[in-house]
Amino acid sequence: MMTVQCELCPKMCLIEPGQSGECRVRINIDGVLRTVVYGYPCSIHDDPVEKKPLFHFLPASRILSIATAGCNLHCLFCQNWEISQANPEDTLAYPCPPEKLVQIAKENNFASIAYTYTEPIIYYEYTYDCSRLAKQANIRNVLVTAGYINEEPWKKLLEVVDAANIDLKGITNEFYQKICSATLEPVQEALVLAKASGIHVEVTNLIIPTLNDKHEEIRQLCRWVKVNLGGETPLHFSGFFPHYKMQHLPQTSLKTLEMARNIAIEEGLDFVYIGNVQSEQGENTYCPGCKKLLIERVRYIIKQNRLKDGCCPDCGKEIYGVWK
Amino acid sequence: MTRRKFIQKLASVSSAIFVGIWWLAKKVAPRKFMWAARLKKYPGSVRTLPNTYNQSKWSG
Repeated sequence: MMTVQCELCPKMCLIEPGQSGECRVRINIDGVLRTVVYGYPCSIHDDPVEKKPLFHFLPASRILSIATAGCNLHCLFCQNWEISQANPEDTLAYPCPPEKLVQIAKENNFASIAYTYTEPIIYYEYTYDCSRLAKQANIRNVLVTAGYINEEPWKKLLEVVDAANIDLKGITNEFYQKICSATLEPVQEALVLAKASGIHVEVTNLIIPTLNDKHEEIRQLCRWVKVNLGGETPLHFSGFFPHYKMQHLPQTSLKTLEMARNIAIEEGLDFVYIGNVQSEQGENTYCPGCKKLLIERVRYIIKQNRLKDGCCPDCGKEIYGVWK
Repeated sequence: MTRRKFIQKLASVSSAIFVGIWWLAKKVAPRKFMWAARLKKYPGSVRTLPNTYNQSKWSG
């Protein structure tokens, strides 16, 4: 019997017959790599696009959001560990081939489909086929991902995707290795490739007390985003809640999130947001030119949107994003 | 054995060894896949699709 090697993500799992890779969903059956979750999402939901979070992509639109069981990372703080760290055989799933998913999106007038909650990279073939069909039906595709993928499959996937929110969980390799069982460099490469491909990119950093909340680390992360992705790239600082194997840590304070936001603004990032904690200014979009309010948000609700054809109505500055 | 015959024999033995090693290496090396094939049957339990879809409790 033959061992197979999965070349999808940088883990490059060597999988013995009858075993799965680290993601739990890619299995060696008789010397052939098989995906066991293709067409079987365990979650299908109707979310506001702001929940992904995507603040510069079709604001106030609804997004059909799906996930299958499994993940190639094992973050100790995972907020969705009940499905991301579950075996498919322990998960209830819906039979939903790509054609059916696109049909649901069309019949219910969803503007886009999000591959989210767990890790769309591990159900790569399903994500790709759904995205290709959705694109043909004029439905946009969004990835919410940790970006831990090899270059070749990533480039192929980016051809059929319109937007991505990619986690940059920390800025040190040590953090990625110890806390997420991954490495930093492939994530940075995936971020740069995504931005260079022309899709809409937003970045999320979950701030965890004591682990990645040091001023200097946050500054370093902001500098990296500015230099490599551009100052126009929206950056979301998300608040952590004690979950999974990090129940001993406190939740992130609003003060810490505001400190991170101030650092990012000092470093020249134009659009910096605070998530998971209600904040007076941290959810709004302001014009980087004249500093006037452009989009006012409370949680996932848009209170007002003053953008005119993607531009500031006061100074005319074009605002990065996909607005229609 | 003449020198020419010796060289001929040496060449054929070495090429046989080379082919053997190549065959063994190919046999032992893992098959590499980027795309995984579909598995027809889901290994867990399956439920019917809902008629309406709610906002998720999950993050993201």
